[in-house]
Amino acid sequence: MTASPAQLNDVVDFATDEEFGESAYRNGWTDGLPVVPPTPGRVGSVVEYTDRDPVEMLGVMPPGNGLATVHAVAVNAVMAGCEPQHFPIVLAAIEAVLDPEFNLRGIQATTSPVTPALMINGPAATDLEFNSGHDCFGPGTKANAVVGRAVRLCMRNIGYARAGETDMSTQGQPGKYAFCFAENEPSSPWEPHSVERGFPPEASTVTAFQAGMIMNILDFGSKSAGSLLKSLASGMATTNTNSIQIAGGDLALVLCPDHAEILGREGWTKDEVKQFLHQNALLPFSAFSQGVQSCIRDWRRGSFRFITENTLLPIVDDWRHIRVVVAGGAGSQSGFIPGFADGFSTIREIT
Amino acid sequence: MILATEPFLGMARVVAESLDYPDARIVAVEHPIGGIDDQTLEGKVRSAAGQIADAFLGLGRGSE
Repeated sequence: MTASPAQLNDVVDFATDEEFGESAYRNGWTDGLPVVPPTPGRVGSVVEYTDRDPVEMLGVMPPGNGLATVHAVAVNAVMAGCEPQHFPIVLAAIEAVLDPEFNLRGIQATTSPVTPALMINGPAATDLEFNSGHDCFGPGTKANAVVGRAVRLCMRNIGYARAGETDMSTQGQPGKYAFCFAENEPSSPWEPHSVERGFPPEASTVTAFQAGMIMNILDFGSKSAGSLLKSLASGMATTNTNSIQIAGGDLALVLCPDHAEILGREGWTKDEVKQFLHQNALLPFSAFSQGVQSCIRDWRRGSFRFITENTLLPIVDDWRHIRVVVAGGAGSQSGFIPGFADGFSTIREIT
Repeated sequence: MILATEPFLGMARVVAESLDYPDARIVAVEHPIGGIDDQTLEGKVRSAAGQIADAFLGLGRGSE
């Protein structure tokens, strides 16, 4: 049995792994890296790990409108290198990105480099050894790599995202191979992100952020919350992100534990941090080029009836759309993930 | 009717089919339309306008 070039929904059976690997690459089913052949045995093991019906449809994945069945997702999960225990997380992640709030159609087709950034919360993060510490956005941890990659392969093979054809990202970004990490809950002075969004502490969840990119915010020098917050605000207020020009969607500030500790020891709540950043991560309209100003006048006209050179633009219209989480190891390097537009982060429980 | 610059024609076809409009008429506009002066842009708009009219009238001069 062979899979259709447009949609890899069928289990494939080739004489050798090398033969499958070459065929998969030539048919555009891979991200360029080697894949695990999705043999009936491997796919069956993954599906059977859950109590889900293989023909259950999670949704229709744009822009190709492929049917994201449990079976189709399992095929891509196996190709990505997932073991059966990773599959419930992949399923929850696919449900999160298929939520209309996430605007997957826009993310798949846009010229922006945006891609889903998946964050794991709860017991699953430790049980499956997701990396929430040093290099959590980087390589070297199986769970982070295979779950993030599985979602990207689903977007490619079920949603039919093909560079230059349907995925029109001008430059893309490395996160389009895999972008998955866990929140460093033990190092956070606040409740986990999942609890903030209404889940009990014992629940495991996956959150999908719209990741325009990761921007590093370096501040080794700040010893007080006031000083650090000024750094964070100025680091987030940059002129050429979707976030500030269009002001839609969620932004994610991924605080490193050392930075989070400074804020926590002075008693700052997460909401207070968000409100401060909303009120202080501002750019005057005069900071933007003439060309970008004309775009902002159009795109943010719902927020500003009158804009002058002195108008201060916040990075997003509503402070609640600044998401603050904690991840990483020791050091004073936080990350800012500017969002996309016309969509928001979504969260699903892993069952 | 879909207007797209040339690099986006393939995506336009896929999206039209995925939204169940396989016969949508697609008109190509010369790329790019951003980062060019007004006079050049006007030329591209006027060129596209003729194709749009033809596509609406079924004269077969639309891009697709």
